[in-house]
Amino acid sequence: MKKQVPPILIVGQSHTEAIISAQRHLESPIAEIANLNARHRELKVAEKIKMNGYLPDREGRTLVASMIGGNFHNTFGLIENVIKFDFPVPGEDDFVLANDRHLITFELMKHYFADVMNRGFLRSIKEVRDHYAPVRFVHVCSPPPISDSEHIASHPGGVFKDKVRLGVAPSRLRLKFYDLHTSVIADFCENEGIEFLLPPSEAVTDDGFLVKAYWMEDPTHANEAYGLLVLDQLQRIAKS
Amino acid sequence: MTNPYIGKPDYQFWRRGGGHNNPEAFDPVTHASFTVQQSAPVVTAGSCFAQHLARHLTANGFNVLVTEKAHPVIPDKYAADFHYGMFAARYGNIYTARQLRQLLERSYGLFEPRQRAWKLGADRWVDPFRPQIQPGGYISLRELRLDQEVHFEAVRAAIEQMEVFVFTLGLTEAWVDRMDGAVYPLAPGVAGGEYDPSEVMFVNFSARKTMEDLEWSLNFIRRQNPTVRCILTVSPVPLNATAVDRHVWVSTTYSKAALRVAAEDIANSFRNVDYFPSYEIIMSPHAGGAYFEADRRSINEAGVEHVMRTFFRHYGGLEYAKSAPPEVARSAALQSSNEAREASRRETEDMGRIVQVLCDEEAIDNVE
Repeated sequence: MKKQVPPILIVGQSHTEAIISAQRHLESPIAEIANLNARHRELKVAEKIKMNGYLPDREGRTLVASMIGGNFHNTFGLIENVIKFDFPVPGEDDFVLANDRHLITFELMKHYFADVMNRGFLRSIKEVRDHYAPVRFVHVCSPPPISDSEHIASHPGGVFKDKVRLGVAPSRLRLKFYDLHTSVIADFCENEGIEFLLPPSEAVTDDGFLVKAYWMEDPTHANEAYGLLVLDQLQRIAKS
Repeated sequence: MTNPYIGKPDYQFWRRGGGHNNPEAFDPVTHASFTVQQSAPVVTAGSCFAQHLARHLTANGFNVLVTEKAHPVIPDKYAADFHYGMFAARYGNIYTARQLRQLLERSYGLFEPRQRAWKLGADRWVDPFRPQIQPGGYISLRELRLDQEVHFEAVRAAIEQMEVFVFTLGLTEAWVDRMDGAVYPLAPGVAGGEYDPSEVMFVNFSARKTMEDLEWSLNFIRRQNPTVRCILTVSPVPLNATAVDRHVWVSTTYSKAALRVAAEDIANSFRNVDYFPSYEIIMSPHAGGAYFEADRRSINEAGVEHVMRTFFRHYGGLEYAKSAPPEVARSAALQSSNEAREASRRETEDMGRIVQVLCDEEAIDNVE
């Protein structure tokens, strides 16, 4: 007899941990979760996607959700650069360039972000979509940034602790990077005909940050309560 | 019998001027009045041919000054798409002597054109005075203005730090604002803005006007930087189009002749200003048109190399080499600025690695 597999499959990286934690509170798992970072970190995700043994079977799935590549924006947006910078975004009519910051124009920043993302992890998302075709496929947006710079400074996580000396980037700048990252993914999804799942509205503040109840003691990830909200979103999509 | 030609050097005689049987050896430079040390900060500006000069100077280890740099978080290849590093500052091609004068006037607050921005599509703006510098345009007038301020500061730094200024004259034809005389590098409507004959008019600068603008510019530069030495050249690239109702080649010959006359007059009347005959090298009967691409307009690499090896022979004190550039001494200010940029790049790469450890994001990795 063939083993019954959950109809929802989530393929991703570190942001899947919120879902994995959330499922521990459920009687039976709603989704199967493949965190491609969980083993063989010496291999790149793009390589694992092409190899046997990392992507679970297609059979029995009704929905595949990607949570690949959610932290690219934090490479630039989390910690201050040695040479501080800022960039305006469309609609930011009150943009003021501080005296100690270098201007990067929006189109230049977008040009760089879009090209790097399109040549990087967005290709992996497409390959996962193609691997599971014709199963319905959605890409899950990363959680919004945490507004409180103090929280980030005091919970830098092992990997960021050596960088906190440079200072946490202003929340406004972190949000702009997140929004830019999200808009590039949204454009990619639209071009590829991929459904794009925005963060649950109850988890987002009016000004676009992650609601405090969903913060983790970590600078970039959301907690299991957030994971539950995303699971709920995916269940509703699977039933629709 | 004697005559005034007796005893004159071979280069004054067509038959003995060289290059007849070996066009690549043709060398019309006779009196370089100074040499350019590799450590001397050089600024290049001018028409599109000036881009070749900057590229070859850099490749041969000369200290080509760049004062307007993208933030180091942006890798060079993306910055280059936005014209960083093409010239000292992001002024783009400067086709006419009037444009050079206007850039100086604007950078030092002597002239504020009434047209500050042109509309590009529904929600973007372009800088009318460098309309192709920013692919996609600016998202707001405020962003454009801020970027202009950065640009003007970089122009001033270039003018004040350079030891050698190489300016390539390209055109006499231009479009100017009827009200304040502001000159545009491209006609409105070509890369932003709208062509309105009641607001802009065509001008074809004479040799005299070109000379006056060059004279003003060099005098102004010398006031900021008294010891700067200048090399003037004329671009051999023919006009792409003429606004005069005649054949484009006839307009080209007028334009190049006027520029050549102006360059000659200025070189003769200014100390430490030389005319370098890149135009003559490319256009000479010795080359027989071999230095043009199939479009009969673009200069091929062999032509550019001929110009540059002649330049290096007379001004660089070295034979032309396409090898890796030697290390050149940099000023303390430049070194410190470069150190900060290196530190910034290192931190960004570190953050990329950290995010990769945390999340296995591969984007940074995939850039290279």
